[in-house]
Amino acid sequence: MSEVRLVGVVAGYGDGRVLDGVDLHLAEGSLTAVLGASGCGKSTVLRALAGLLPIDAGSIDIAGRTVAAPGVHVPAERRRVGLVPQDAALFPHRDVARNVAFGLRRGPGRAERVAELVRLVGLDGLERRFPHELSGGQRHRVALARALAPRPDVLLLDEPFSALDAGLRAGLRAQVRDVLRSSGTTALLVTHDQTEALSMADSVAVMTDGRMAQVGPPEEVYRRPSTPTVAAFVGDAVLLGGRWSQGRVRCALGEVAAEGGAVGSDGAWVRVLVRPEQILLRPVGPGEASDGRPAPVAVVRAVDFYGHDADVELELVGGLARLAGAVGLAGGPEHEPGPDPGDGDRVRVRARTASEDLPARGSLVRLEVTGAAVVFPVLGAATAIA
Amino acid sequence: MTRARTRSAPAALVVAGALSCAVAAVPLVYLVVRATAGGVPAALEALLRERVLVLAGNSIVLAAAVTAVALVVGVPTAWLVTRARLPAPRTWLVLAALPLAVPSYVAAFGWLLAVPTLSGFWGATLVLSAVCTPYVTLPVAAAIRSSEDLEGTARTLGRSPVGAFWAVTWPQVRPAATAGALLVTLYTLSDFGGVAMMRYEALTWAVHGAYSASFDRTRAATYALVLVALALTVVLLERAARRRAGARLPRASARGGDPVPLGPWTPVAVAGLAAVAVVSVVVPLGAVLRRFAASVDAGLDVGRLPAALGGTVGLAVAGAVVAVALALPIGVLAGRYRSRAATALESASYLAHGLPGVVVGLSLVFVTLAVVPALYQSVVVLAVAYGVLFLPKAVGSVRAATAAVPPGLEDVARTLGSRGVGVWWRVTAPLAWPGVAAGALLVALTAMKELPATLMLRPTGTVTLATELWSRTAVGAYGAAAPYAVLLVVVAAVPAFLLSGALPRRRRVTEDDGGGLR
Repeated sequence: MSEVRLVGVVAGYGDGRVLDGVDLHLAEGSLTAVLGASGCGKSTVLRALAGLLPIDAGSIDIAGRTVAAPGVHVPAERRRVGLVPQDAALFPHRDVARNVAFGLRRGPGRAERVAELVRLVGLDGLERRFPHELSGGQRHRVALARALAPRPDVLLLDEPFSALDAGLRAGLRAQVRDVLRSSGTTALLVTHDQTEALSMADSVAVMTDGRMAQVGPPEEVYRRPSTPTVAAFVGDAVLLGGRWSQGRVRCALGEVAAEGGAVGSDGAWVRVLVRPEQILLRPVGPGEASDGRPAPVAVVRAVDFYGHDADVELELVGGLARLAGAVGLAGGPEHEPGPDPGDGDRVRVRARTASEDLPARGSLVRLEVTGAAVVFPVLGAATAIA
Repeated sequence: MTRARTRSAPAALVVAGALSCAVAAVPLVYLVVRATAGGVPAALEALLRERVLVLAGNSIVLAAAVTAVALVVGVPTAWLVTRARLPAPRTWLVLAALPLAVPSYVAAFGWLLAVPTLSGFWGATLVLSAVCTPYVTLPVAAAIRSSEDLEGTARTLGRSPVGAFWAVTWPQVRPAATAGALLVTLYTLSDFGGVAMMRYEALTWAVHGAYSASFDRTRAATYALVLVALALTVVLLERAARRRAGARLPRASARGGDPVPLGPWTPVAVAGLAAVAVVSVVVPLGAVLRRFAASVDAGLDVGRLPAALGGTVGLAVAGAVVAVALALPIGVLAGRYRSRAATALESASYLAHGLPGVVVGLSLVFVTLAVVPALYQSVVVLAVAYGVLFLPKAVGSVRAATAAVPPGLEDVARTLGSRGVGVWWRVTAPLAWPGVAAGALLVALTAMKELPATLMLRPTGTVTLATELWSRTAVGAYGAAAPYAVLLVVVAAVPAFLLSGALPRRRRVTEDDGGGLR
């Protein structure tokens, strides 16, 4: 029984309020990733959970025990939490074995437990090494073993891979996830790396302005973001203006199936989210480019080649483009509705495509949207503009 | 994201720190009590006597002159050794720092050997300027070096070399020079050995004179009080200036900038630097070494040399132990907690910089005789004097050593079940002790050179290198004094050597642990 529950947690440093009513539930044995921009308070969640920062309001329960609430503050050393800091923070005066043993009581079984964990993180044979004799990845594995050794109720990982290079990071992520699964530990991972959050976690919590904006399985958070802000933070987003009607939405990319429930009456202005990989590039048929028919056609402005795939920067041309300009555009998710005088007809969208058969810069392509778009109501413009 | 340390400081630590500060304050408090014992009007009358004003004026004029010389010589020297293309660049840097290794009274002794007629204001100015200039040169050189990247950036943004210097380097240099200059003022005001050997009537010499000639407590206390008032003023100014300087100083860049070629001015620059080296190092040390060689040729009379060396080391170690013991709670508080109490205690301990050795010595003589006469002229009192005098140095070392241990390590230790004292014992102490030990060593080496308090407080029969040099010089036995001067320079050179970074840095703490949960 090692689930964790935060209810309405408010905390901060001095006068500044960093957490402004955080609600979060970590299911037993699950790995939850808190995803947020730097400064949104995600590391503060972790410090509050660890007991390193007293909370001002709300409550924190770990494994059925209230560890923080008004008048209750169980200190860090009695919370049974494990912490893997960003820089690993190995004790430089202790070798690997003594780092791992730090949180274990003296007595029988101690050496066995150390050996078990060193084996678990794959560092057999390095027990007598000192931290400065280890590579970056090895240090993080020692930090993980050290945190797991006293069998904590919950493990906290504070951007543990951000200091490592890309290749090492991917490998270590998989290892850490395997170690957590095999030990059945409830864990909270704080990161600003969406790939890390989406690929590792059972549950992703997107944090903005000191609150949890959305919590859910990675697929759900990605496919059905609750707000344009979440959409823009989790993955790349193409946000357009459009009109909703009968489960479909008309926007600069043509008429697309819409998800997202009731957003108002038919003809209501909405914001439309399409992911770049949903936009398919097709060759332009003869006569399609200039006849003004409502088929989305775009000029290729730039191609960013990444190897495994490529991003194509497109500028829409023709009549449909005007529709997009009517509601704030991808530039800022919280744009006020209304005409965008600066951009005029220039509407740019980004498509992600396989890296074969890339269109040339300056060429025309026809756009097709696969799957459904997500629509959000436009505040103050829910009623149709005739 | 910056995270303030939110844990409040443990009460026991604050109480211990307050006790340390109380011990350090004893000399000052006693002086005030003593001077005002006959009522405030009488004290004021004693303070405003013409003799007091003349002495204070002498001290101030000397301090002003030495500070001016140090600035005029130090700032250009700093620029030359950091930025100019010179032959043998390392040599000039070492020569600029070397006077730090010469105690003022040894420099005075050396100059008196070379020019026996030297005395008074000009003699004191010459000797103290020579000894004190590095206090300007070194911080200014550091400021110039640290702004090299900025200067390069300013150049790429279209500033001329001179324009770039004024725009980015000078704003760094000015506060460094100000702080260094105030340090020079403070040391000149506090100096006893140099002015005494030059027979210049500054306050320090007058305090000692009033004490040793007539044992006139009131007069000595009055002089000492004026001296402390001057010195404390300078300490407060210096602290303010250093804060401004420190807040803005960026990290020194790893690579040096490109040296500036001086063209036809190179010989002039070299001649100037050489002249400074001749005055501050070559003449005094050369004279001492020559006299030393002569006395060796004449068959060196070892005499009390071993006893003096033993006495010096023993007293210095005792002083270092007391200083570090007093400094531990304050340094730990200052290195770990940003609470108001921690800041207040650290600031209070810093004020000990404004207690000249002659004042601490005098005051402790009085206190001991009045309160615990049994301890008069015992090692304990002299060790306490050293502890008070070098408290700021020891606090600085303890604080730096404590602060160098990443707080993230303590956080992790707490999540692993260690509590307050346990965290300290298992994590902080093992990592901090080398720094604390180095601090103790520095205090000991500094205490070995101390002269005025040692003269007043040393146990009867105990001799040190400094007191032997002093008493031999006083009776004109220059030849016999030379070996002590040589040994003192050797002793004094050790901390300069350590401070110059010749020792490898403590690799384990500095290398492995960056930011993290801080």
